[in-house]
Amino acid sequence: MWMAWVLSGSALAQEQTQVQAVAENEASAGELADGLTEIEATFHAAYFSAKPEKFLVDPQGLLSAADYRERLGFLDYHASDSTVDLFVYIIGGRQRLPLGLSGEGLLDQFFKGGRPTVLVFYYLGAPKRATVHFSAALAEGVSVAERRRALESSVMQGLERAQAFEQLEKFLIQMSIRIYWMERLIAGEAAESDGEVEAAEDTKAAEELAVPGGASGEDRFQKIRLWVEPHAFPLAWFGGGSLLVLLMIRVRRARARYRFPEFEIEPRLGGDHAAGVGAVISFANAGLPPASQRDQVPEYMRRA
Amino acid sequence: MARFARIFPQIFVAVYTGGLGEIGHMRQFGFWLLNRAAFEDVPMDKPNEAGILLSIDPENKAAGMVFGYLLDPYLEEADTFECLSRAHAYWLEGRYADGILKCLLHLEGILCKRSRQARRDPEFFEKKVVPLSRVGDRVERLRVGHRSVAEVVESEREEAER
Repeated sequence: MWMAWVLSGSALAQEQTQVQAVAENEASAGELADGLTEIEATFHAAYFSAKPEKFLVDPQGLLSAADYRERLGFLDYHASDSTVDLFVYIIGGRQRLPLGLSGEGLLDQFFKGGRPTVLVFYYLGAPKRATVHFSAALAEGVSVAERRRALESSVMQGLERAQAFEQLEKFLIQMSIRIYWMERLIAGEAAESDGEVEAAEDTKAAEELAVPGGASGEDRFQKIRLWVEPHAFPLAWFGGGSLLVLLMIRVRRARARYRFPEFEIEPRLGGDHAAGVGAVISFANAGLPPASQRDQVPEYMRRA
Repeated sequence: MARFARIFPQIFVAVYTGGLGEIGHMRQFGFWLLNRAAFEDVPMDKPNEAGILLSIDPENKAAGMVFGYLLDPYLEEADTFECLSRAHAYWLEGRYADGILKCLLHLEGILCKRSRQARRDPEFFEKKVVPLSRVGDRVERLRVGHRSVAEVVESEREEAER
């Protein structure tokens, strides 16, 4: 059993790329191909006649209502948090796309000119057969190798689970993370090393899994930003004013001069300039702290 | 110390480190030095009255602090003891410079506070150092006071008898 990753050459030429996972050797692939059936014609229109209104397309009802809602919620959350839309077509594990239909064709037909888009044809229960298609804007900014790794790691994540729904969940989470890093790469902000990327992926995945549908670090940042933006002007005034006051206090302290009124004082003890004998402290012995030296009286006045 | 002189334009601080010579006692030594010494790097307009002298005897492991007449109303022995106490731990370890720094920082805080108090209420400090010539003979005043009270009591008694 070996795994091969085939990249579509025509996709590069068309500035759109298809990354296809082929997880079987030639013999097993042949067997699989023999057992596949095309999606029923009655569903073709629901799948492929228009741009999907929702990010999760499942006209056959392969997912249960609860699973569908949950995954759709995740994809909606992804869309709100990302500049890249992720559309997922759910297809049966033993089904195949109609002949002549391709991801590039759909992207050209329905997704041209809009937000950057990633299309996923996900075969329920067979993550290895998943194919991913990137719109031109994404394909320009992200290398083929990076796109291949995105699919590869998503499939690997999915294969960690046995249940079909759980496989889909893991697959989509990983794909969302990879899309996030693609955005960063395009923006020139991505971490250089793979190690950093992996570490960040783990962190983000942990956040996603710990709070299903909840706010991630990025989301929290967005919330703070949304709150701060309307108050930016008064906050800037307040901050600037506080800084100015602190600066003035500091300058004033630095320039402060302390003077003492001078009084006529009669010399004492024959001292022309000073008569205060002041305090004396001994530091010969650590066992004799200053507190025990506070009452400084002559020896002859001490009790025996 | 330069900063000290800048913050308090009237006064100066001097530090003496070394043996006490013939004068064996730290208190006497400080008193004698501040009254007799001429501090070369102190401006002429600052007399020794405006000085604060910190003496450290590393041999006998003792330190003292004395001050001139100008600071008489503003500093007390307890204040100087507090300053020396701040340096005690450092001097125990032989870190004389660090100890001096701590001591002077604490002294700076005390003097800043007293200067502000003196600006608000100078009479309070003036009362502490009123010369005896202005006070007069205290015994005489006491006698006059007693006499006047006795006279008032006598006159009241006479009026009551009438």
